[in-house]
Parts: sequence; C-alpha cells; structure tokens
Amino acid sequence: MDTGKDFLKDIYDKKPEAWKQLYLRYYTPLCHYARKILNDNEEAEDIVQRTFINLWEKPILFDNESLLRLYLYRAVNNNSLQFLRDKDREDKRLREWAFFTDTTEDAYASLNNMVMEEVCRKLNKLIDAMPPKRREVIRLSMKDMSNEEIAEAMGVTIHAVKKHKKEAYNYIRDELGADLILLFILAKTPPPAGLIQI
Amino acid sequence: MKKELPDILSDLIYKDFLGALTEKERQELAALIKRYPIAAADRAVLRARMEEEEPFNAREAYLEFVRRTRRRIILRRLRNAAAIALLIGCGGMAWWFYQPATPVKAPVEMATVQPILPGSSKAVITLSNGERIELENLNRQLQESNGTRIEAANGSLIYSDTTQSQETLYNEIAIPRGGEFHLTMADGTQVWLNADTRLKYPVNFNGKTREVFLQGEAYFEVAPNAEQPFLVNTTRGCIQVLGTAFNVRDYAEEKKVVTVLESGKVRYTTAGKQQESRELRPGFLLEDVEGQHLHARQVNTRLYTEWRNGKYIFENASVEEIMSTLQRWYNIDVIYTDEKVKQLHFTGDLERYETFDVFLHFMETGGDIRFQIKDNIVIVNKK
Repeated sequence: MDTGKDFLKDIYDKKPEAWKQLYLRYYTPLCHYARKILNDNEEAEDIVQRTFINLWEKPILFDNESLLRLYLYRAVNNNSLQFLRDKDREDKRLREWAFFTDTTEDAYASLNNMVMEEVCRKLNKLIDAMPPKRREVIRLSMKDMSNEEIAEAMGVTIHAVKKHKKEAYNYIRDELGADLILLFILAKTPPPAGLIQI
Repeated sequence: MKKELPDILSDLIYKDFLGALTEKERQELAALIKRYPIAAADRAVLRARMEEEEPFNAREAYLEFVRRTRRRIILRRLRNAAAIALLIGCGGMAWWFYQPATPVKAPVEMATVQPILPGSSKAVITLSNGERIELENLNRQLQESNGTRIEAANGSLIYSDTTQSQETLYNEIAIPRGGEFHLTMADGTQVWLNADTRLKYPVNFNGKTREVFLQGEAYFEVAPNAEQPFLVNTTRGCIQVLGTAFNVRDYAEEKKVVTVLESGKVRYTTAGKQQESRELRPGFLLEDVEGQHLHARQVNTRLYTEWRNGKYIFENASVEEIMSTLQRWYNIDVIYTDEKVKQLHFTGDLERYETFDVFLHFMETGGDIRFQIKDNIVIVNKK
C-alpha cells in the first residue's frame, strides 16, 4: 500500500509524478474530512488545495507515509477550524466543533473522521483496481441488492453475477494474504463478509 | 515501520469489513474500540458512507494544483527578471548620476504566522440538571437546585454550601486543551485543574465520604476532616486522603496514573479484581502503569507540581514527554518526521505563560533538534 521512502523523497523533491500520486491518494478523503467540519463542498476543496500548496511551497521530508498521512489530516483539520474562526468568531458550528473536539466529550471526533476516510480510501482503492463489470457487481451488492436485483440492473444472468462475486472474493483473498484462505477452508463457506455476500 | 493510531484502526476495520480478520486481530480491534468510540467500526455506518455519491475529483484538483504552482514559478521568474532589469536600469542611471542604486529585494511570499499563545482560564461546567455553561473570563453567580451558591470569577469557581440538603448533587467541570482552572469546593478543598482535564465532584458534602472523579491532571489541597475521608477516583485506582496536598495525573494516552505527594498521607488502591494498595509518604511518587505492579520512588516533587505556580520544570525528560505536556497547554499538534528524535533528552526550567517559540528556541539551542510550524502543526525534525 505504501510505496516507501522513494515516494516521500520524491514528494520532498517536488517530483510531478509523486505529487500526482499524492493527489490521487489523498485529495478526495481529505475533502470529505474537511466537509464534515465546514459543511460546504467548495470551501472544503479550497482548504485541501491550500493545504497541499502549503506543503509544496515548503516541503517536509517524512520518515514514513503514516506520518505524512497524519500530517495531511491534521493540517486540513486545523486549516478548516482556522477558516471558521476567521469567518465568524461566534459561528455556532465552530463552537460545536472547536470546543468539543478539544474537551474530552468528543475528543475522538477528528480521529473518528480520519479513520472513516482512511477505511473508505482503502476500500475504494481495492474496488477500483477490479475490472469494470466486477467492480459494478461489488458496488451494487454493497447497496444490499440481491443477486437477482443486480442481474436485472446490469442486464446479465444471475450466474454471471455469482461468477463476478466469486472472482472478486478470490481477488480480495489474494490481496489480503493467506489468513482469509484459512478461514475459508475452516468454515467451508465464505466468512461473513461485510462487502461481499456470495 | 511504526504505525500511528489512525492507521492501526483503519487497517483493522478495513480487514474486518472484508471479513478477513484473524482471531488475534479481532481481539485487538475489540480492545481498541472499547477505548476509542469509532463510528467506522459499525458496518452499517461505513456502508452508508461508501454509498455516498462522490462530489470530489482528484484529477481535476491536481490539474488546478499544477496550474497554480506553475503560475507561481513563472511569476517568480518574471519578478526576478524584472528586478534584474530594474537593477541594470538603476545601475545605468547611477552611473549617470553618480549615485548608488537602491537594491531591489525579490518579493518574499510570507505565510501569515500567528504566534502560538499559552493556555488561559477556560472551562465548561455541567450543573446537576445537565445545563452546561462556558466559563472564560466570566464573572457570574450560579445557583444549584439545592440552593448551593457558585461564584465564578477570574478563572476560579467557589462553592459555598449553606443548605442542609440530604441529597448529594454532582457537578462536572471540563477544561479543554489550552485551558486551566481553579476550584474551591464546598468543604474548602482547593483543586488546580490543568489543561485537558475533567472532574466530577459533589456540590455539597453530606455523605460518609467526599468522593470525586478525575480524568487528566489536578493538584489537590484537601481540607482536613477525619470524619469524611476524601477519595479521588482515577481510571485505574482510587486515592484515599485524610488532609494533604498532592498531584494526580491520569491522561488516557499515557496509560498510567501518577500520584505525587507533597505533604500529609494518602493511600492508593487499584481498581479491579486483583487489588493492590500502597501508602505514600511525602516526597514520593507512585506510578500505576498498565500491566505492571505499583511502583513508588522518591522524587523532587516540584518537577510534578510547579505547573500550578506557572512553571514547567523538566529534568532529563524526553522530547516526547515534554511535547505531550506542552501539547495540552498550547493546544498544538505535534508530528515527528523521525522516530529517533522523540528520544532526545532535555533539562530546563520554563515559564508556563511564555509564547511557544520561547520553548522551541530553548530546545533548538540546547540539542540536535529543529522545529517547523505549518498549518498550526509543530513538526519536529532532527538537526
């Protein structure tokens, strides 16, 4: 998942290909994160864009990508709150956020949102790497649609839907390693997956 | 590679969603969710988030980024070229008029940097009826439903109990990061509350004991009363007091309770099945660390208590320890670019009400460490 030190060095050296990767990986999750605070898509995009440009202007060399990620989320968090603070000191949303993310009651709000976006980012990355038909089957089955419904929506047979699911399952198993195989054999049936119900 | 907490959590939840957790990982996730209430761990919530339409386009944003950063480079080049042209022009004229040319400085793009200020008096009090009141330099009188008067003035809260009510009411005070507060309870006990702290305490004292509940850091000067022992409950254990002054620190991230006694006598008893209990003498520190036995040692108590007198004293403390204290007081985020830099050690004595750069300067001159401040984050680098 992480490309290691070369990627971090390339970000630091402002290599365009690395920066493009940085955008593809983190732009969307960071926008969702900012939107939860700002409640506005355009403002969220502005804040995220500005945060990236700030980093580009004065790059930081991180030791691992986990630290870079943490930095990006924290920076977007702080810039969003700063934006609200500048906009209106008495802003009600700010008071709800800035204060109670600070006090113990909702101290985990920003951790919570970061984890949510990171899980989605990983799931999307996994799904987007699949061929188009299989990807569509997975997206539809996540909407809790039955095999019949999916088959009808896509204009394919139920058999084809099952086949795509099976392939997706194998693909995920390969991606995640041997643990899943073990579970699969032991249970004789696929494990209770949140994503795919075969 | 050491993973940060959000990464550990998101990896586990991701695998869980795919039905691919091992038994060991499942237990690890369960333990973490107990400590951190994580919404994404709920499959229905996660599924709903995954189904949302995607309004953001990373590719377009990248193109916009390229446009903006490229324009900056071109602008800068143009400016430089213009500056050179101007210098040549001025130089020519200087030659002509025999006067030195005014040097043209290349425009510097300055980010607006605001100084990081120390904490100040801030708190939210929750009355027994659930009403919450924010106290920032606010002077006002409050009254509890049993008639107890509460006076808020200049960063302190004073309770005076004149009622003979039998029912015990509780109030709760929460100090955010970057805050501090002083509390005088109805029995005369004084409490100094540090940043990122929460205390639940009775409004009036009529039970067999005087019992309070603490999360965070506080210094207590307990009014003596042998008939009503004073109990401080922490997340790990309970401190029993007979009239004394001591400091308690119990921050969730630190996974330990540290009690430091300045005078008098206290007894610390761990919670849970396998109880351990120790009596503490003045000048001693008692540590209750997760997964370890109680451990007492003699210390210079000022190191642990001077914060309430406006001083921080660090004696051979690691960067990580120092930053975890300063983080709460200055309400800042700290990110290390390197794991090793956390283990550098420092000794020093600092005023608590200085702006943050005074601390940074002190550490930079004293050790192999460099700080950068960006987007309200303090980035710690090796020199």
